[in-house]
Amino acid sequence: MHSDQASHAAERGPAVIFWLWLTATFGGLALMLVIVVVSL
Amino acid sequence: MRRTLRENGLSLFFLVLFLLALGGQAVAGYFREAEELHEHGRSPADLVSFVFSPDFVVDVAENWQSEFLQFFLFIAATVWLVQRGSPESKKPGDEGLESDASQRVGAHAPTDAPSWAKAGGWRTALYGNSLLIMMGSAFVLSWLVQSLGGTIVAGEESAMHGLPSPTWVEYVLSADFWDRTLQNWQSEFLAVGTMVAFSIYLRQRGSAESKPVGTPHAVSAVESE
Repeated sequence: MHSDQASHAAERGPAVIFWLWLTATFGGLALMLVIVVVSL
Repeated sequence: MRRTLRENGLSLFFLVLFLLALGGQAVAGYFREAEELHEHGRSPADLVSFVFSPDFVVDVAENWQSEFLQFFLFIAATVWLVQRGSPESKKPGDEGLESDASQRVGAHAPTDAPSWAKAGGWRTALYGNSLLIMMGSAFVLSWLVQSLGGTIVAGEESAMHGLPSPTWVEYVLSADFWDRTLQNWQSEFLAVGTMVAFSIYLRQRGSAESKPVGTPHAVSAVESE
């Protein structure tokens, strides 16, 4: 990989991590909420 | 690729641990559920059905809510309360929301600051509390999921014994709901308290959660910077 591309990818890392955790947390909560609401 | 993995290793390490533990909980919970159903002369559903059932959801949610409450309270409490000598705390005298200059917002924001830190008004106020808002939202949502899931599970158990199912309000006021809730809360508060107190006198060389080894006991990491 070109050094500029590598640097760009490294800068994007924290943003990817942030959205990954946010999606996992609130996606998981939304899924659990749907499961219990449809089971009520 | 290796650089990206190295620079994000802390988050990825815990993501892998989380997924492994969640998977393990699903399998162990499935076998526990199967044993209970077998004792009542009923056959268990498959693993996927168990994972998407209120029984599994309530077990996951009751732990999630206590973790998010822990961080919500830790973030909020460390604004207003201090512990001299702990690297988890600001130094005595710095309690409160601090000045715009020390928080580098509005006119005091550097050029490379997040745009909402520079914007001023409601956007800076919202962004300045965004971590607490997200942790609080996750806590409220997961506690709601625990209460709804618990209502369903309690209803299933009541039906097995020929008793009427509780309403959501009845379940939220029940001993089972508060037993599940408080047994998680007490462990979280213990863990946070020990982290704050132990780190006054104890060290872990190289850890961001510890003061440097040679830092005096009465000095926090914030003070030594």
